[in-house]
Amino acid sequence: MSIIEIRNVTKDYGNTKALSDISLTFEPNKIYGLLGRNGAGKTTLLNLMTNKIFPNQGNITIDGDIVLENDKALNNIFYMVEKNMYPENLKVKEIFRWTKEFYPLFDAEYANALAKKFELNVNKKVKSLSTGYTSIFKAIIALASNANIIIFDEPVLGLDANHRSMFYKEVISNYSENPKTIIISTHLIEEVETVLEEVIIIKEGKLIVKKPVEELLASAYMISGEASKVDEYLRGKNYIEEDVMGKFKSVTVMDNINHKNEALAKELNLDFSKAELQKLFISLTN
Amino acid sequence: MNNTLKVSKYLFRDFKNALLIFYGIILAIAVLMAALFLNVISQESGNASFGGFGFSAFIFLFVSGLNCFKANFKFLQANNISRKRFYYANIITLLSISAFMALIDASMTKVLKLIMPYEDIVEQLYKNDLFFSSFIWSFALFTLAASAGWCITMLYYKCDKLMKTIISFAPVLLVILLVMLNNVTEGALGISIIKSLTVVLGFTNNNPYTAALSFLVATAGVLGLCYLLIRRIAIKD
Amino acid sequence: MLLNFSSEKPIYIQLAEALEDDILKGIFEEEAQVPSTTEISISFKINPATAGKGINLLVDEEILYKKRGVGMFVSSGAKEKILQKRKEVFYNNFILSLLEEASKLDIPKEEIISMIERGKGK
Repeated sequence: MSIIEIRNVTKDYGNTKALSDISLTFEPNKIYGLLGRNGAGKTTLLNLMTNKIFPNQGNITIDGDIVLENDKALNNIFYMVEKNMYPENLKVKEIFRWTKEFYPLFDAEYANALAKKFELNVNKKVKSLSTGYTSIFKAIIALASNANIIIFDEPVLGLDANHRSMFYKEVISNYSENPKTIIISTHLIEEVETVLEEVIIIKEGKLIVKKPVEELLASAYMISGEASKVDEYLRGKNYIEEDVMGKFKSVTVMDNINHKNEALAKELNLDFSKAELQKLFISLTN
Repeated sequence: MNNTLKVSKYLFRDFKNALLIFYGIILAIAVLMAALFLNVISQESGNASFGGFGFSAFIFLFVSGLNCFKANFKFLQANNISRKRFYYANIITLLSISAFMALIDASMTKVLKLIMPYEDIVEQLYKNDLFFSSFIWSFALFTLAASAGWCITMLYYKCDKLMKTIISFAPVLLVILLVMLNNVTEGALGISIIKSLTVVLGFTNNNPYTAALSFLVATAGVLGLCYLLIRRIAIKD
Repeated sequence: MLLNFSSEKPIYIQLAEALEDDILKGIFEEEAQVPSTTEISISFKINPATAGKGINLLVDEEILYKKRGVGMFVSSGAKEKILQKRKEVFYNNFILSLLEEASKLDIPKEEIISMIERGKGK
């Protein structure tokens, strides 16, 4: 149970503002999705949260302790970084062993079981792992770390569909067994959508959305049918992302699902469906 | 503290193989030297004298210092270890290895002396063949070598290309500047530098402890600089 | 159990309905154990809080009940409860709008009944 509070954090790189005045709280024991386009500032935020870099303004606390050079606070977090930070000439099993030194709750048995499940050879050296297996290897360490907060930055990089599915299932089973705060930063929104409880969307260094997924999805809906009829329905409404195929058209209407005009849709012979997080994301970040 | 020692333990891991190889080679050379000497002495009068291995250990520790930062920093950051903890753990590691190598060096001198006319650097410089003075002198010098290596590697790590070039040329510029100042002062500068070095290194009264103290003070200075460098250092790709 | 992630209904409602369907079909008999929240969230890759919400919906309606330390079970009489509820929904969603449409088209009650019989006979 650890609460992360980010207060008025600003980070500049020279003249470019990577993050400007971000405030947000990660409540304990939730699965968060951190979304944003490339360069939006996701990794900068995660790096700030884990003392990899230092904010120009504001502060970040874990259970009230400022994270800056604070080993006690930092030991609550395991951060799976996108790049490989492990010495390449060490074997996977050796890194498991060393991780246990620094994260005493690291569950080596679980790590080995996961390695078996994902067919990761623990006797291999880190440098000989493919991109996909490097991701798997890092994800396994993170899952087995037993930290209160686990952060995954692009965890499924280079994984095939089967391994991605296995990974998400493992995240859920790990979380169910041992509730903790999990933050997944990814651009593969579609497949992670159902796994998340809340999403945080960052655009150009600013926080634009922090909402439960369900609530966000309820703030829009899709309508489709014959193009001219769809246009008729849309009159005076705010909408995004048109898909047109011949006479067929489908759009996402930016309006609460409780406000949809069912009678009109029926009259016009239109169909409703759920808005996709991916599409909402694109429109929100454009 | 406990965790700092764990970090040290990790840092030692890097040295294990390098030390084994180093002493493997040193041992081979020592055996070769002894064998050569025993053959030579039968033909000629035994006035041949051999220098110490201290210099190789010095180079070894300097290079170790150069190598002790980059990969370890990355790994420790992956484990969310603070820079401060890394700093203290690295000092523990470098000091222990320096002490260990100084101990071996001083012991080896004693052993080799039994077989052949062997003199280590301390004896050559200070005409002093005490085990303890040899150990302290080498230890102080080794820590200076290791911390200087560490400091330089962090300095380069922190700088961009331009700063790196400037830093690389700085020693050359310093030498040129000193030579010029020396000319201006008609050699007075050079003489005073040499004089103060003689004092600092304990040559005036043949005292290796004066030199050891100077090395330790310099080490402390370098480590202070290391602290300033590591304080806000961030990972580079 | 079948969940359709593109349906406009929130996932937890879909989950509750899918469980109800399975109870109606007899896949989960009364007094039988149903999969746990964890099992459901893992196999469908849905957030455990979402799955929990769906299950709790059925617990609140007394269709499922919790045995401490054992798991979730189908209540006796659950099938009847679901049927009643679905009938109510059927009446609200279909019958009322059917009658509304019928009155627009001026179809008398007898004709509606005969139409239903025609449909049934198919």
